[in-house]
Amino acid sequence: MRLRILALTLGLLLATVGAAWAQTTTYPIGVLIPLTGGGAAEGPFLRDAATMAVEEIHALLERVGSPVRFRLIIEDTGTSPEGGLVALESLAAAGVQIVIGPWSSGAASGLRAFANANQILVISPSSTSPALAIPDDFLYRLVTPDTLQGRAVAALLERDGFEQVLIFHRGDSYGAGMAQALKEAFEAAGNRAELLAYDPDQGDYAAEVNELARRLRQLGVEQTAVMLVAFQPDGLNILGHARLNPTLRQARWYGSKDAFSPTFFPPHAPLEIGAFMAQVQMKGFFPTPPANPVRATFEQKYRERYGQEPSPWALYMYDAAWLAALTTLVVGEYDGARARDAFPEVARLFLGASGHKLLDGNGDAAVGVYDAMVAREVDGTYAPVTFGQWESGTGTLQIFNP
Amino acid sequence: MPWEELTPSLFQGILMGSLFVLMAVGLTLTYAVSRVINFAHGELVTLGAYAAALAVNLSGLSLLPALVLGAAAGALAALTLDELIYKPLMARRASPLYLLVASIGASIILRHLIYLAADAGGWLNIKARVMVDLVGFVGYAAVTSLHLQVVPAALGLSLLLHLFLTRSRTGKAMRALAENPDLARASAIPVARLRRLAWLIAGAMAGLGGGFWAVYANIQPALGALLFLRLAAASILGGLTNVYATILGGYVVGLGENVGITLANAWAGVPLEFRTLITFAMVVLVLLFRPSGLGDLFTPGRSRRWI
Repeated sequence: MRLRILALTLGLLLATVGAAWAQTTTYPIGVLIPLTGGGAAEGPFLRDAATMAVEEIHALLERVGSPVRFRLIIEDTGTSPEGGLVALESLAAAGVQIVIGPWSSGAASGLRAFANANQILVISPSSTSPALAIPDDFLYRLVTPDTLQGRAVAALLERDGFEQVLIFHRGDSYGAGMAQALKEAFEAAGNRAELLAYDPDQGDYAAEVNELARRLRQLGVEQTAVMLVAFQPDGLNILGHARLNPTLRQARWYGSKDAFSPTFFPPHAPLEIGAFMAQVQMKGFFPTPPANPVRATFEQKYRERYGQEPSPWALYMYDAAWLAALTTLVVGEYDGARARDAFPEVARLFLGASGHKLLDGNGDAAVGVYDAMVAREVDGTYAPVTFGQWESGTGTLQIFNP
Repeated sequence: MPWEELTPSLFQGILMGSLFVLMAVGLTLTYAVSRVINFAHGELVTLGAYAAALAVNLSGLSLLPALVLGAAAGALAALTLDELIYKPLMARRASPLYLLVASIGASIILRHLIYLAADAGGWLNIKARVMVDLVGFVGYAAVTSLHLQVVPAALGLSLLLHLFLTRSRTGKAMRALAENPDLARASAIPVARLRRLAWLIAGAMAGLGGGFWAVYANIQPALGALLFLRLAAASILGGLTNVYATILGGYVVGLGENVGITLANAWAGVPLEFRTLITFAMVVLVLLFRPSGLGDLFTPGRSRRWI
């Protein structure tokens, strides 16, 4: 008798759980992040930000009694075009039609054609290569392309009195795109820019740094600025060699946006590299999101949960996850093609941790404010300090903390 | 090109060559003694690098004990690989192709285990907190404290290895084992013990090289995979079997990549992205015209020298 009661109770329990399970609709969201390769240091920040966003979305959906839930499927892009494509193919095989990421333009360039062919909505939080500013595709990007950053750096170089710049850049989609954007903007004003590309898949860049120094001596150390377009592993290696190079120690250095991410500074980077960046007063821009309550709340929660500051790109990834979920809810079903059509309008009305997301005709963030930053010693360590701002709408550079 | 312009590449080539020697000799040694091309050799470098870096950064150890720890980590991992994977496979008469595939698999597994640990510990991209000091300049080249540590270490250990292989009874037995395993077995040479010793030495040198690398530059879980092709190039230049030629191969690769790309860029405008092409062009040429590597230079008149 007792056995029967137990069986009946278990049966009822299973039926209840089963009914609840059947009522819940779970949509997968693919997450393409770099857990290996040049962007590996950013990967954990991006993963944690996406996880936080989905937890918040679930809390909200539960509160209002919605049966919809989202499941993150994380894939590593290896920060490479091939890795990006393989990762998206894996997601597609799992039935994913909405993806947040990838972080790098290299990975985005590798998967873009596959996303278009398979009608998969891809929302990149951070890809900036001008080469991917293409209308009517399935790739949307939540940050302004590097054509704007190129104009910002060109304005800063001119303000600092340089007529020559030697651009030392990753030989990939991101690096070449950024270098070309700066070259065009700088030369449009009658100046001279030289490009020096390096293979980003090396373990060490000493030979490349020696060549950089040689070229700089040819151009003239005093009158030529050095612009570094790098990700963290290659960037730190290059700066590590440069700090011991007699020519490059005297050079005036500028850096692309990633050089002003926390991953370039202690404790994520060696102290001596921070010291070198401060010694040469490395300058550049980062598309810093404007301060707003969403950003403040996210940063506070992130600090409480993970015990460290989020990387700036984590803010963009947090927004990408929210936008992916909101777009799916607006469409009302899981459909990559319809989500892609709805996305620009959802983004237009969205104000997230990384700011407002009005998109341009290419599906990239239309407006951006770039903080001018310089590496400095701060409270016994080294950190990027904001000393000005470049506004993309007007193209004006304001220095307020020289 | 004025000589001063070449000095940075020259000094960098010597430093890199010394690091490649430390890392690559083990690859040759393990192939010669056990006939396994160990694709996971790069991961031994990575393990040594992480062990040394974490010993310095977390425990505050000074450089020397940290390097010893790096060498020990490499040695232990090498021995484990052989005992758990290669030896059992060879006992089942696995073909060289199967061993090759197994070693590629071991490399991938080890690398991803390192990734998992590095991600959990927040060590995806770290460097040993050992300041590399500037000693002086020669031309435009900076001579650093690392030059004064790595170059003597590589040359000194090469000399020790030479003395071990040529003067000690165990070393001579190891050479005999490499030359003819069947005859060695028939001659009551303790094959299993010598094989273990060879893997321990190989792992220790790779780990030591990794430890120095953690002082030289930032390390990441893919470090060994990125370096492996260069180490393989040095070993191939040594005919895969000759330790002395591998030592020479290490310096040829180090200097070839650094001095070679500088000259190619200055004279012919060859882009820097083609740096590794110089190494592999050398390897292809050696394979085409001197398949036994540079080993013949040390043993004129003989087709191949083992170890």
